[in-house]
Amino acid sequence: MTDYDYEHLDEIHRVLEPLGVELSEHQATTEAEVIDVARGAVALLVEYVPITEAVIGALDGLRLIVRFGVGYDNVDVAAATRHGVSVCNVPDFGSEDIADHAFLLLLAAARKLVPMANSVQAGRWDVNEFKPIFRLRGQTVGIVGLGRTGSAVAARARAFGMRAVAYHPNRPPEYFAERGATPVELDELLRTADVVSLQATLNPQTRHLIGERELGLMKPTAILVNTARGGIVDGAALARALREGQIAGAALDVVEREPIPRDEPLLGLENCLITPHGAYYTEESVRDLKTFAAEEVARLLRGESLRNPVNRIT
Amino acid sequence: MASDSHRFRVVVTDYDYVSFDEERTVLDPIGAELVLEHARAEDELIAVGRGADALLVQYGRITARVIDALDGCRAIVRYGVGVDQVNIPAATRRGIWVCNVPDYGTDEVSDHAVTLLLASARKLVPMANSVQAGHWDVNEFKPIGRLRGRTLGVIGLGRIGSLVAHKAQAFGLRVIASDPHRSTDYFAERDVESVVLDRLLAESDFVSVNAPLTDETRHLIGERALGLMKPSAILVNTARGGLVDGAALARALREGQIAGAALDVTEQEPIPSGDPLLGLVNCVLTPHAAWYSEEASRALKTMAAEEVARILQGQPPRCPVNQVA
Repeated sequence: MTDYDYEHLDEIHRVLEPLGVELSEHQATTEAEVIDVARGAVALLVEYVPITEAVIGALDGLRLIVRFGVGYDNVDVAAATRHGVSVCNVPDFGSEDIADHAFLLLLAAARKLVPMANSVQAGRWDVNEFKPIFRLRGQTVGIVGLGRTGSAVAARARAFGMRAVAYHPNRPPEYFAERGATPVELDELLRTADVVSLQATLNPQTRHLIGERELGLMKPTAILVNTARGGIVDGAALARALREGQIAGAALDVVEREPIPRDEPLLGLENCLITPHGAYYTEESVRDLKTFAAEEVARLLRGESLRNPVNRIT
Repeated sequence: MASDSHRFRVVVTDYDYVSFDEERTVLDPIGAELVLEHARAEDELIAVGRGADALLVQYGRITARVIDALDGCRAIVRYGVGVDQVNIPAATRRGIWVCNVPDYGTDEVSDHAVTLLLASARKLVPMANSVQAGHWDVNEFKPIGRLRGRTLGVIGLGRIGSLVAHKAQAFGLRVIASDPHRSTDYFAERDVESVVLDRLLAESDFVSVNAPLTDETRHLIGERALGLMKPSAILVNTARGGLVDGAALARALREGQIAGAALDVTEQEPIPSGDPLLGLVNCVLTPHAAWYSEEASRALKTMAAEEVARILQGQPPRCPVNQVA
């Protein structure tokens, strides 16, 4: 376990102990530290620390890297493949929880909840301070990335009378129909959506997918929600767009640099709601995440096929 | 039609609206004059009601004294759903219609209620404020539980309560409700289980109050009801402050008898500076805003004015809350 911010790892011990596996627990934050603590490891369980080519190349005997979560942008998958190391993620531990948080961010931004609640605590009581707020029924939510979480967001949006459109490359029309969303190209999504919700993975193609040009396509009344990865959005461009009223608001659970630095331009904006990468978290999701990640290691050691590999070792 | 000798006089007793375009669009064609006032005290309301053919009321308390002082008034139309501030029996005795607008903003109120529910469950307001204060640690907000499979209890399964139920079901919440006025079929159509209030309070992880305020429902949620709730439960109120005993709720929140509350309404509004519900990290307060969107605001004003126009023209009202002989 290269690094973690959990109080305990009981679920992992419970899965690995019967196999006679030793779990070596660390808090590495750099390449050198990972190489140092992981020498001789058969499998790495990884939360945030970058697993680079240098790390993978230095670890003889390494066969599996399991990323604790959905995104695996901190793992150099191509390098792992070259070195014959499997990489797995845990895509399904909390997609419903993330969708709940994403939809909460949508609702809270639309109804200006946080500034409203803070205004009452500051001694005011006046809904007119928060004009305009628009009706959600009949609005369009544009979902970028219609995977597990994006589909769950679409289902929630429908219950609120919102129309769902989605952008997801290389999927047939039936895929969208089964999920109750209309397929659109990204530019059309940005031009027509009242709320844009990002549920894509971060990779070289999606880095800064939402930048100055894309923000310029959005409606001035639109809200951007990001519970995926900070790197999908150009934060500096977003801060400018919010300051200049190019779009109406943003609600972000992720930012480009985490923990968020003091000089982050997205801080201190009334129309930008930020939560500390907490969308994935419920007591139940964290329990499932630890269990599912450990089970991937157990499968490797028992010679079974892996459940969620993101690369293919030939 | 207004006769030459009498032009209808429609008095807005009090308001916090910015414009009256919608009302004028409806009332100008019937020759009604719209008079805008800011009366809140009883004597002020008596003064502005003189000579009125109809009253449009936002927050002003239309007591028996105000009603008895009216001369020739035929309609009291409340800008909103709740009519608790109007003395309905007094109006009925005087032959004055009392009407509300129950359907102008059911989506807004139910959206706001679900927003408050989710925000409390996921501790959104303290979380967002912690980031602005320089923190970045979700562990500060433990524990947060998964929504799917938990139970929402809706008190009052009318238009708004039913929409709260429907929207909550999309998050995998099981919904139960107490409403003495609804049939078995009505509950079944909504996939909601009918329960008595005490069972609702004991079983629910979330309780949403969506009932009208009446003599029977005042302080429906008091010390005893709060004592029946789970220590992990969250109370949401978007209906009327008077349904909840605020002092008892503040004690329950302070002592951890329940986990949280999210309230769009309080017993006194605007909330007084010393209110014990202020300053609690587990109590989210919004300023009676659940009803509001631009679309709802326009619909409310149009529909309220149309009710006035109907009554002044001798037509039956659409949404009377009393029966005038």
